[in-house]
Amino acid sequence: MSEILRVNNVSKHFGGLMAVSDVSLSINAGETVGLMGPNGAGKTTLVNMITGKYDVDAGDVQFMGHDITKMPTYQRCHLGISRTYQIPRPFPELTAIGSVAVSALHGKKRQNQSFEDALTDATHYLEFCGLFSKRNVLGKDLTLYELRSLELARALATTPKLLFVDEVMAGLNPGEAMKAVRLIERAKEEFGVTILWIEHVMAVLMKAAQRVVVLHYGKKIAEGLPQDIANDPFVIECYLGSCHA
Amino acid sequence: MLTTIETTLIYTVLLGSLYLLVSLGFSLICGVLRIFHLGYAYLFVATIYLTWFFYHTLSLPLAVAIILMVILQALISIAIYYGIIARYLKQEEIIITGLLLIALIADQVANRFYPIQAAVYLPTTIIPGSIAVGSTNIAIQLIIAAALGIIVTALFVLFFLKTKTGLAVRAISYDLNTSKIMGIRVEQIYMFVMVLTILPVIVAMLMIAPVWAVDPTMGWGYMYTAILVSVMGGLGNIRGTIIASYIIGFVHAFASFVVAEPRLMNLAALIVVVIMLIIRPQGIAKTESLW
Repeated sequence: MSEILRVNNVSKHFGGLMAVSDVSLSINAGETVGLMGPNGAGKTTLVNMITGKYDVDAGDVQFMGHDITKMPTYQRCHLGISRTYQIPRPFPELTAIGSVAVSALHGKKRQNQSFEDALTDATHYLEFCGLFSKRNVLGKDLTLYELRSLELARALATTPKLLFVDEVMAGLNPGEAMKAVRLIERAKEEFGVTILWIEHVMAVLMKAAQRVVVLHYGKKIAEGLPQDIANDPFVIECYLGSCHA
Repeated sequence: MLTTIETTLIYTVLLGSLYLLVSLGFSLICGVLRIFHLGYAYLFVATIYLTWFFYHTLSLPLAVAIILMVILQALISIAIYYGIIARYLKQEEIIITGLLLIALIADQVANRFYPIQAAVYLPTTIIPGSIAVGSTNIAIQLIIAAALGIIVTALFVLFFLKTKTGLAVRAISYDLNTSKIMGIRVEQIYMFVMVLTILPVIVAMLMIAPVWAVDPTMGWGYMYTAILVSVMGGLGNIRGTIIASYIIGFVHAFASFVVAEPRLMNLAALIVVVIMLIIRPQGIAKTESLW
């Protein structure tokens, strides 16, 4: 498998707080990699650096052979990086179809794509995510599960090669959570995206991920097969709260 | 009494439509760029005096003078965007100070070359004369200006609802970071909005110039109205701006014709806005976004 993302020794601090410290990781095309760690471990900060929300203080990020360390966020999206949010961030006054059309129109350079073409494209992704019947509902009026599905539809409409999925199960009931997990697995099969999956629930990563990376206090403390990570005494200790990386 | 009510209502529509043109751009900048553009006052001055410069000082035909003014205004907007807004996007106090300085400089430059005694007059009257609407005589130019106010606003709304770029502008007004993640070139859209916002002001000033007095400090009067309308409407929301324009138009007409004290126009509008904000601090709009 070819390498799609390589993160080399990246660091990020906010004032005196070192949010991410000297972290490296790589992801191969077609993989699902889990990223886990306790609250405040630096998982979201790491993703924010890769997607371009935060500048990198040290280190570099390579995506499909391009150095994207200082690349504007929209260009990273055009290259094929997209994400969902742990706390959904819908466009509150746009309908579901309008929200997905934004991604279809702007997520990738497409020749001669009209507004109507984008709406048709958006319908396809809404159908895939089970939101076709909600296409004319405003973002602010959707339920949490529907918002999670909309986040995925919106991200898929940018035609990503690498998708960051941020804690899809948070706040969902067990039935909705399993539906959300299955939806992401189907998205991977249907669209061939590579996934970096941030998750607290180890059981999900055990099933979905080929590899797991563990962060703690901004540092990478473990990387390996899910079953090895689940049995790693140091990781277990960190989760129980007595280790210091 | 019937005549007074009739006149008040007619002027509510006329003034409200004009205030739409005056406020639309300011509101748009608040809603999309999320900055309080105190320099917006320069646009009113620049429209009149740049046209006058090309038309009178350089003796160019009026149509050519207007085209050159529009081009120059667009270039100035782009320069302001890159010189101040894009450069200091994370330092709001520098942006506000810089933009305010631009408005002050525009005043002083206009006053230096064309002081109030210069009797600047733009012959942009489309149809001269007046017509009787009910028992009120109204300058046809004002009616055309009001009609253009409604047409320009409708075109803006259609643009935001039905075009690719309009959709991107709305998305940015809802969530800047998510818009970037979804591939929108935010800086390009910001620059586009900066240029777009000059159009309603240009239309308003070219229509008003032959009817109402112009002078180098005129920008602040219109700016005052734009701020009242935008604050009352809910900063950056176009629906709120439309409603607030007509409310302020009504208050001005009421003070002028019912109370018969035109000097109280702005004070009355200010009191209404303050009361409105006490009751509903976020303004008329239900959301902080553009539409």
